[in-house]
Amino acid sequence: MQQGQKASRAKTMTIGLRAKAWWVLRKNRSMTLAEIQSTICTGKEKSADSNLRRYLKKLADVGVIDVETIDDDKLTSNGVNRYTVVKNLGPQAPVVRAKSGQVFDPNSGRIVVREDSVIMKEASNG
Amino acid sequence: MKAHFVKTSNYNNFITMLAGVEAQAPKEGRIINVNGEPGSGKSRAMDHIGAERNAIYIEGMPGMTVTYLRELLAHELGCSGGSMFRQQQAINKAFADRQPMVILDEAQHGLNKKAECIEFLRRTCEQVGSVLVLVCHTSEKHRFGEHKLAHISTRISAVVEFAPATLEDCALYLKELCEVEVDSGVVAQALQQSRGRYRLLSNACRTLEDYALTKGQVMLTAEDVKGVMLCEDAMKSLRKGLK
Repeated sequence: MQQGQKASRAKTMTIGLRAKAWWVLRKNRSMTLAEIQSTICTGKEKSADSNLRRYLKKLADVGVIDVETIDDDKLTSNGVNRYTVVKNLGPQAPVVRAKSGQVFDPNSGRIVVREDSVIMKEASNG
Repeated sequence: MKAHFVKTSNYNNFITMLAGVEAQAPKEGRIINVNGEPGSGKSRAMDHIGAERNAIYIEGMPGMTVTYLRELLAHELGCSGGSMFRQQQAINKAFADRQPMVILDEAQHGLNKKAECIEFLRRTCEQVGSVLVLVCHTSEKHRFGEHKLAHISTRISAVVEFAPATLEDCALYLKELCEVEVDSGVVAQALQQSRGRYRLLSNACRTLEDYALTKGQVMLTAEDVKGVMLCEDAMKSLRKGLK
């Protein structure tokens, strides 16, 4: 007797919040955090704001995205950050490694390092 | 203002059509045409579903060719390089593995030369039953129905028109995103001033929050905002300037 599902399973791929953020950021090139959230969040995620903020900060630290503070017309506000992709790494979202804090690029299989960092300079000097 | 995606009637309509096409349409007919006026939420909805499904997004542009599209698909699927034949083989294999949804924005740019670009995408999607979404402005949708493009138009299984927000959409939008509670009168006023365009509704939402903060209120009624401009319709002002 045969058991289990015979029909092929739907291959629809669902992805996590950070990967979704990378998808829309790559597509639109430049967005604020509110714009990203208004596009990908459903309102049911836990701490979407801080999760995405930490992810974007890490990407900014290694030079994948550029952060610019823009005025939001509010008297008491410092403005909001606009994130712009400067290094389009590819369709697969960069992964921030929780333990080491490194940014891994699954497209190239390499750790992303800021171009002007000491490590890069040492590597280029041999 | 809260920040998350609001599932409006347009979006729900699209999802229903998508489910129908995925479940019932034959592999060669899995094309959906999405059209609508600016501000009707097309791009936001496509971004939402695109990110959700990890779709392949292609921005149509004038002068787009099949070679360009093949290179783009190969890049997006991580199989660039090699001869044209090898590239196509790699694309087909990646499509079979992933069955990605393909979104072609500004799809009217793919209509040149008897829509060879759309035909290429259609054939690639057809092999594995992926859905191809053609997004365009309302004024361009008639071009997909031209006789010489019957090979495309006959394969479009669903047409979804993104209409301006209805009163229910407007109420849902303000209920989900506005930090201030509003009554049905305010909803009607926001709808009338924004003419159902989500971009303006978002401005109205911010105005309502600022207004409530100034007045020290947590709830606003139509009486409170009577005569207040919640959002400015720049298009209206431009049209006035023409007269």
